[in-house]
Amino acid sequence: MIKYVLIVVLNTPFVVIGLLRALHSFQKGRISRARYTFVTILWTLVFVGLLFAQPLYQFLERNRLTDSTPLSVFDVVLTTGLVLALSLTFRLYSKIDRLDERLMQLNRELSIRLSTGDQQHTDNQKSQSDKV
Amino acid sequence: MADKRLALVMPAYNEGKVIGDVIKSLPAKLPGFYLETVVVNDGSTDNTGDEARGAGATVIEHVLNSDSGAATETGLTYARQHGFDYVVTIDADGQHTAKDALAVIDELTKEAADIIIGSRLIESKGMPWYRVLGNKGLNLITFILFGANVSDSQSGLKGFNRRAMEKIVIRSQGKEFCSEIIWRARQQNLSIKEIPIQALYSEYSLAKGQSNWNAFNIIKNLMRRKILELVND
Repeated sequence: MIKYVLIVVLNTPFVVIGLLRALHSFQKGRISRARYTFVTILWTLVFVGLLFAQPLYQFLERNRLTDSTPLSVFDVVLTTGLVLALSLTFRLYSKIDRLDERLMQLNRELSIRLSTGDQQHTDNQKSQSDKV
Repeated sequence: MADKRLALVMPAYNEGKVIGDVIKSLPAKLPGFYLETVVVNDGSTDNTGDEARGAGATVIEHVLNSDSGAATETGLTYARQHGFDYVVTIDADGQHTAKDALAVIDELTKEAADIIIGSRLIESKGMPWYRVLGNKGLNLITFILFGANVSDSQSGLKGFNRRAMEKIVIRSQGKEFCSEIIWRARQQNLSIKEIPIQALYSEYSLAKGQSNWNAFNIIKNLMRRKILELVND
């Protein structure tokens, strides 16, 4: 029983952080309602899975859907690692995507400014030579 | 009344052999319009930029090679920043005729819809059967993923009015941007009208164009974009 409590205690912070981050981003208008709903449902499912790990295992075993041994301390560590990895993957994936987008914006702005700047520069030179 | 501003945007990568002729084949002036041909040279390693400049186009040189979706968005950004009322995107490989470009411009300026798509598949004469198959497959994928039903989601000849230009920001960098435009238009409740166009396939454009295998890349990138929009925070 203690191991099932341990798995909830160890993983709850990640779930709470995931949910709070999604709420914060939604309130700041950085993510859409659809995205907020998706992330919230996902983290809630993870939390429900952790909370009812024991009945879930018993259900699976009763219906011969699993043949594994009951939860060990190593399983607790492994599950915590997986939840942490999920959380980190979310963060990294979105950070890379945002970085990629910013790099593209930089490329775009720089390309437009350099190209049209050259033209303005030529126009200025032309008008100056006209004045002379 | 002041002339309406119209930009013909042409994303180009290594099209030095044909781009000069393609630009010259397009109208240089239209009554009642200030017309500007904008070539976004996506880091070409040949003389695409020089040829386009020589033919009278404004050339934006991409600092980094970024693929056709990014180049198209650069053209749209330029048009937004410079107060254009309409934008028509055209392939740089000579696949589209000036007559069809004018037909798109005509529909656009009549405000027939926010986005005008020149569809090669309404009358698909002249298009190789495997291209027809590939394009229809991508139409189906666009419909499944985004619920948008158009006859030619991958057409490069598209017209945008100011409203569409401001509401659509293309985030895909690759070839999947065509489907993304349809998706964004649906998200933003923009109207779309399709008109039949003819696609000219030369040996050059067939060699340069997308292969059917690229469709898998497009599908993968569209799914990635869809998932990213859901999980990003």
